[in-house]
Parts: sequence; structure tokens; C-alpha cells
Amino acid sequence: MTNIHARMLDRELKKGSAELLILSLIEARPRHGYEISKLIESRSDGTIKFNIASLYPLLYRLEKRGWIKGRWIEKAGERRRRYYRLTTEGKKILRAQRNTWAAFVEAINRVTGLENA
Amino acid sequence: MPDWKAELAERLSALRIAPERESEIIDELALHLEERYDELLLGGASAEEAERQARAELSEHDVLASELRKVERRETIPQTPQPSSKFHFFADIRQDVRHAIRLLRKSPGFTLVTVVTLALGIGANTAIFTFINALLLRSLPVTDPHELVLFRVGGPYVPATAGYNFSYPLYGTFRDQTHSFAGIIAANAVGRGRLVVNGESGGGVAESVQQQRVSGNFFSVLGVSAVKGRTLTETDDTRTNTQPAAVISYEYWQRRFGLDPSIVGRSVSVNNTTLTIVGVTPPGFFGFDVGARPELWWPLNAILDPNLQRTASWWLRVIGRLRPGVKPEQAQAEVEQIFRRQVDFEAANTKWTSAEQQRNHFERHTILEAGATGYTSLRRQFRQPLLILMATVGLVLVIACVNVANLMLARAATRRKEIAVRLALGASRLRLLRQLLTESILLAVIGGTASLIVARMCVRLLVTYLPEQSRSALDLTIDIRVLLFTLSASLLTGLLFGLTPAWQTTRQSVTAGLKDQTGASAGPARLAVNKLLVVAQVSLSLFLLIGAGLFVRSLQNLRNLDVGMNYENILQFSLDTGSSYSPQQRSDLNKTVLERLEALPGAHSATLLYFSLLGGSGLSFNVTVHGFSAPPDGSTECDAMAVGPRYFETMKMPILAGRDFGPQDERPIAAATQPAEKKLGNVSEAPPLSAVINQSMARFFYGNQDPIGKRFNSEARQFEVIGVTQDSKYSDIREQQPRIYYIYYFQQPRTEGVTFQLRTDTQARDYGGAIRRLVRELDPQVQVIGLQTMADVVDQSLVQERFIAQTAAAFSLVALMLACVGLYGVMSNAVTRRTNEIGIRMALGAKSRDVVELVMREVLLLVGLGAVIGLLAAFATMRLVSNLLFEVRPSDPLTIAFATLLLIVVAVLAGYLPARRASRVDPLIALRSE
Repeated sequence: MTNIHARMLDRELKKGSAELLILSLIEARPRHGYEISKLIESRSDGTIKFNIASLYPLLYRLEKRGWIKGRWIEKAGERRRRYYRLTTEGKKILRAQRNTWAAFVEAINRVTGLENA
Repeated sequence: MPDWKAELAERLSALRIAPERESEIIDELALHLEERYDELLLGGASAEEAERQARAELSEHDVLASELRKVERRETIPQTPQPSSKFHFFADIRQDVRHAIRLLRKSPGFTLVTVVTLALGIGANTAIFTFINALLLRSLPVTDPHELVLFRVGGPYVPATAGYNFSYPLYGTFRDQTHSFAGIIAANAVGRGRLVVNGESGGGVAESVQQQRVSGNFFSVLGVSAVKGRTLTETDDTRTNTQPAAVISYEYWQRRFGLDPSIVGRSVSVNNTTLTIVGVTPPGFFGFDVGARPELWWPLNAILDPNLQRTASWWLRVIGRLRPGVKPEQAQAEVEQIFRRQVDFEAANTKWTSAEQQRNHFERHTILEAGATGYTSLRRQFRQPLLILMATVGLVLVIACVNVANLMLARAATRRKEIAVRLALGASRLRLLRQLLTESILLAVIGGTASLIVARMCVRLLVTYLPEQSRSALDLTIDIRVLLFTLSASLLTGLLFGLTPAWQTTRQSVTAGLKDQTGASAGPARLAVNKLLVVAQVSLSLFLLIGAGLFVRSLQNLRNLDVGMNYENILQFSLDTGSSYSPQQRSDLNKTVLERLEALPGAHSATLLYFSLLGGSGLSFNVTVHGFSAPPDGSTECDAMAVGPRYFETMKMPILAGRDFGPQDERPIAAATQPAEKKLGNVSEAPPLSAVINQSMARFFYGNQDPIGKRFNSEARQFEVIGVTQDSKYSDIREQQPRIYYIYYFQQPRTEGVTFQLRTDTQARDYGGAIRRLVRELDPQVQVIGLQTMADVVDQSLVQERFIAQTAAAFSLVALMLACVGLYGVMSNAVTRRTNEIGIRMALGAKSRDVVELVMREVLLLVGLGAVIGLLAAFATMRLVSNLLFEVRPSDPLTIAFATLLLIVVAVLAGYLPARRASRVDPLIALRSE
């Protein structure tokens, strides 16, 4: 049971933060899905992993909301891939989510007494 | 590597995502899985291990399907049929359009060629229609234009230009004695006037203004009110009014007075009559003369014009507004009744000089034409050419459509498999047909939009054929009617070129389409359609070539016509002195101008004449010769022209017998003007005037006798023949050789209507500045008007022929080019399809020459068949345009032979290119291609 609860919590947390992660990663330049998943994995030192089944539905949802925009692009010597970039709307959302997240983390830290950790 | 796509397709199948979206998702996810798989392999995993792990990530907790279901919900195909089939219909159309856009973007080359072809075809149509709209269709900017009727006199002998003119007394009778009209208005032809703005500092300089004299009810009957001040009223148009009023156009108010609000009450002088500006018309108003832009209107009775009294002066255009409920036929009957009384009255006071004259008089009758589109002389000139050109560009569009249809057919062949799959999956043929038609119509609409650019360019070229003053006056903007035309042309075009390919494509059998991997063996039916279309193109373009050829030949004939004089390097102009010059002063001025002209460096000789040469107008009189009786139905009319010294030298017309005019022929002004007032038929006792006659006149009246010293009577004067000159044209180069007598201008000078002519050794056009300077030095108030070369005058008189010949030639060449592109395309396609067969033939020993022959035989068959049909069509219809041809028969063998030869040479060349390509087929490669 505990195990399941922990896994559920894990999923919920991931879901809430996943949008922020994706938006942040494509802020500087457009990236394709595989690259996004690799970056999340490597930058979190393997702590956070997005596999195919959860990543793409999320990308499509963000796209549908108009925060990101995917486009098939073929680069010299590479295969045709779908690159996602941040839309103007997405930029605003990212800014807002960053602030919320920072406030949230700070609040959690204060509650759990982890500020000095 | 595992087939990820198949696996994904299976997983997503239950989600019922729209097919295009689904394939996109599958592509993206499969790529991800491949990369993950490769990465795992690189990390040292075995192939099985890598596949297992990638698949595990894919199938974890069935997250993919459940998440995708949420996200893609809105795009999934509804599980149950929609309640409203209407919704379905529009949703389908939206989908079709989106699908079509995607497809077109996928093949930019095809899209570009098609759009350009269509833009040319539709653009040409839009351009011609823009003219038709402006000249024939657009209503006047007045209230209820459909109630207006235009008065015209018809009859077998009424010149087309004269039919719209009425005398002021007759107009008055119409106005006062009819009951069918809410009002009848009259106006003279729009013309140039000399305008001086009074009371302006540094003013007093004459400027040129487009003006029109109108009846007092002009504005009220047209239903136009002033945007500033008031319009003219009936009170303004009375002889007793000492303060004549004028109304100016909004555009003139803006251009000349900068919209000065104190314009009302300003005083101007027009042709030396002082007028007070009482109002400004609304922007865009121009009266009823389409192609003219009057800037100032003033009353007919503002001046003491003798023409207002004369029943014989026909100079006013008359327009009436029907009373509500009155039918045009009723009004017509009423007008005709009055007109008959007038005809009888005139007849009672006329002494007929010939039976012909009498017949002409009585055979006249009135016609009321629909007046909603106003009056324009351009209509008479351009109506038929425009309709012919409309038909021409229509055929060009058909040829363009055929090209596009062929392209679509070729493309459809490559899509056979796609269509077959969709049919197999249960798509209805109707649905597919609609989808394919949507593509065609989308292409046509894009082409139509692009065509507006082509149309603008065409209009800019075509407008140069119009008389200079009409170019800016005629409203050639692309209005809603033109846009609607273009839209419907585009839609129709889309249907035209889309229907056959769509039908062909969806008619295919599913199994044949599915089996057909390369599209190399399309059914014979499709090829037959292809080739039939090419035959149609060839025949249409030959038809157009022949038509254009006939017009070009006509123009050539007119250009090469011997007009009996040399009009190269002649510059002509007139002087406007206003009315302040007395006849004597004017005569002196003319002499001085002639002297100064001849003193210009490079000037060869200068002369003047009364009336202008080849300008479409002239004077003609009945001539009587003692002892000569005219043939019973013949006319004894001769054209008359008053010319200055050195006229024959200037026009390079040799004096064949006798002598040229000289100072001895001059008469004092007073003596010369007096006899002109005498009554017709009562020959003056004054000494005879000298006259030079042309050969035709000499032959007609004097036969083989020497005409020198003989006398004849005309214009109530007696003339003595002093010389004979060679025949030449007079008012129009198309006319039959006229009989002309020339009198010496300075023995009967006139103050108006004098044209100066200067022959120069070099380009006559360059002397314009020198002439203006010279005249300004003599009197700054005198204006030089109508400055142009004689060559330009002749060119302008040929404008109708030039317009139709040059435009039709251009369009028929475009048609030929399009047809050749079509032929080339179809033959290339055919050769490609037969690469395999050709390879086998060559492997079996056929030479290149044999292959070329094989292909060319087919090309010749298509071209030959098309040519025969085109020739038959030309023979059947070309006589319809015979009235526009000059000295060339509609079945002119030379033109037809040349057009056919041109077509065959160009078409065979277009067919030879694919044939040559076929002959270079490498049998090995060809055989491997299957």
C-alpha cells in the first residue's frame, strides 16, 4: 500500500512540475521530444524520468493549450523530427509558473523545516 | 529493429483519432522509440533486452492510451453519427479544404505551375471584363439610373457618331410636349475651355478646363445635389439671367482650389464669359458622359449662342428620366410622334438637291436606348472588339484549364493507390469526388486571387489604347462586379479542370488501383481523355491564331494603305485665341505664325488648313457643274478643304496640272466673309474663287477634258479650277477615294477650326517646345492646343484595329504557348509510361530514328486532328467578324496558311522534345525500371 501511495504521490508531483520542466527546457530554443526527455533525465541526474508514454500526451496537451507549438523540421543530415517551441502565450505561463513554483518550494521548505538543508 | 509503427498503430487504433493526426503521432513516437532502442543498444544491451525495455516504457500502466485519449478527444471522429447532416457537411468541407491545402503544399512545383497558368488565364479575362464593366455595364453615379433613357436618331444613313445629337429647338419640343418623362435634359459634348479665375492675386492666367454646357434641369433630373452650395436650376438657364452660374466638380475643387470653403460666390471666366460658382458636385460625379470628366458645368443659355436658335444645328445629347410606371415603348411612341412632325416640317422648308438626300431625311426615326450606363463614344468604338476579345480570352482560359486538367490527370495517376485504399476502406465515391474537386477549386481560387495582379498589369497596358483624355476619366477600378466575375470565373474554372480528372480517378476499380504499384499501366481510357484534351487545345489555339491573323492583316492593310500624301514628320496643332481676336487679327496672327514656323531651324515647310486631316470629320458640299448631269442615284457631293500656302508641298502631294495657290488668290477679309451668308442654290455674282481639285473630282466632272480654267458651283459660290493634284484620303483612311476640292484659306479665312501643320527634316515630335515658345512670344494669352504628329493622328484613327489586332495577337500567342506546353506535357508523360516498351523495342534492334518516328507519328496525329477541327471552326465563324476586317476576307488563304504553319511548326517542336528523349532511352535502364 505504502508503495502505491508513494508512487501516486510521485506521479502527481511529476505531473504538476512536468509542465514547468518542459516549458523551461524549450525556452531558449526549440527541442524535439526525445531531446526533452534526455535533458530532463540528465539534468536531474536521473532522478526524474519521463518515458514516452507520459511525455508525448503532455506535449500534445501543452500544444493544444497553445503554450507550445510543434513543427516538423528536417535538418541537413538528420531525420525529420518534430521540434517544439515556446509560444508567446507559453512564455507568459512559464513566467507565472516559475513564480508559483518558487513560492511553493519556499512554503514547503518552511513547513517541513528543510530551509537549512 | 522492431516495427514500432505497426505496434503504435495497434495501440492507438481504439482511440479513433483523425487519420492525419494519428499518422503524425505515430511518426513522432516511432522515432522516439527507435532512438531509445538505439541508445539502449549503444549502452550495451542486447537487441532483445533493448526492445523489451523500450516496449515496457511504451506500455507502462497503459498511460499512453489513456492520456492520449484525454488530449486528443476533440480531434477524434465522433462515435455516433452527428444529428445534423448539415454540420457534417460543413465539417467535411473544412476537412477537405485543410487536406487540399496540405497536399498542395507538399508539391510546390505543381502548385506553382498551376497557379501561374490559371492566373494568366483568369487575369486576362478579368482585365477584359474590367473594360466591359466600365464601358458597358457600370451604372451612372446618379439616382435611379435605370429610369434614364438616351435619345438617339436611327436610320440607314445616319452616321453612328451623329445619331446622339439633337438641336436645341427640338430638345425644347421634347421637353415641353411629352408626358412620359419626369424630366428631359440636354448637354453639349464635354470639351476644353479657357478658364480664368477672377480676383486672384497674380491671377488672370488662362488655364484649360474640361467643361460642359447643360440645361438648367440637368442636376435635378439626374437627382444629384451639391455637396457645397447648390446645383444649377432652370432659372440659371434663361437668356435674361445676367449673372450666369457654374457648378464645379469635387475633384476640381480639390485640385484647383484646395477645397477652399469660400468657393461659392467665386467668379471665373470661361471662354470670356464671367460665371459665378454656385456649388460643387459630389465626389465621383461626372454627368452622363462616360470616359469624360467635366470639371465645370454651366448653363446652355449663359451665352448668346446662335446654335440655340438653329434647327439645323444638331449638337446636344438628350437624356430623359421616365415617369414611374411609364414603359419605354410608350415614351418611344410619344417621342417618335414629335420627331415625325419635325421631319415633315423640315422637309417642307428644304429644297432637295438629290433624291438620296430626301430619302435619308425621311428614313430617320428616334430610338430610346437604356440610359443607365450613360453615353460614351468609346462604346461604339470598343464594344465589338471587347466582346470579341472576351471570347478570345475565354478560349485562352479554356486552354489553360485543359493544361491544368492534364496536370491533374498526371498527378491523379500517382495517387491511384491512395484513392484505391480509401475506396477499399469504405470512403464513398461521392465523398472522394468532392475531396478532389475541393482541391481543384482551391487551386482555382488561389489562381483567381493571383489573377488580380495579372489583370491590373493587363489593364495598365490596354488603357493606352483609349484616347488620352479618357484614360484617367474612365473608372477602371476593380469593383465588386469585377470581383464577383473573377470569383465565378475561378469557381467555374476549378470545376472545368477538376471534374474530368476527379471523375476518372474515382471511377477506377479498387483492385486495379491497389495492384498498381508504379502507375505504369494506366488504363487506355485515361490516356484517351488526355489526348482528346490536347486535340481540343490545338484546335482552339489554331482558331484563335487565325482570328488574330485576320485582324493583324487588316491592320497591316490599313497601315500600308496609300493615303496619297506623306504624313511622316508632320506636327500639327491649333491655336485658341479666345474670342478677343477679330477675324482680321486672327488672319494676321495665322500668317505670322506660319512665317515663324518656317523660320524654325530644321523646319521644311509650314501650312494650315481648315479642319484637320484624317481626323474623322470634314466638310462636304454638293457641287454643280454646268452641263454635267449626275447619274440617277449618284451623289455629286465633294469634300472641301481650305488650305494655306505650300500645303501641297508640305503634304508631298504633287500638282499634276495647272498651278498651286499663291498670293494672287488672296481676298480681303470683308469681301470674303460676306457671300457665305447667301442662301443655298443662289450663286453669288462675285468673281470666282480659285480651287485646286483632285484627280477623282476632275475625272468625275470633266472626264478627259482639261479641267484647268473650268468653273463649278458649291457652297453658293463659284470656283475656277486652277490646278489638279493627286488623290488622297480626307477624313478617314478607310474611306473610298473621295472627290476633293481645295480652296485657298486666305481667300475665305475662318477664325475657328484652323490646324497648323509643320513639316520638319527630323523628328517632328521634338518641335513641340519650340512651337509653344514661339506662340507665347507672339501673345501669352494664346494657347497651343491639340499638338500631335500626323502619324499619331492616323494611329489614333486606327485605334480600334490596333486594339483588337495587337491584343488578339498577344492572347492567341499565349494560347499557342499554353497548347504547346500541354502537348509537351502529355507526350512527355506518354513517353515516360512507355519507357519500358521503348526499351524492349530498342533491345530488339529499333533505332533511335524509329523511336522518334513512333512518337512523332502520334504527335502529328494529335496536331493534325486539332488543326482540322480548328480550321473547320474558323471557316464556320470568322465571317462574324468580317465587319471589323479591312480588305481581307474572313477566309483569307494566306492568313490561314500562315497560322496553320505556325501552329504545326511550334506544336511539332513541342512534341519533338519528348520524342528525342524517348530515343535516348537506354534499353538496360528502361528494362530495369519495371
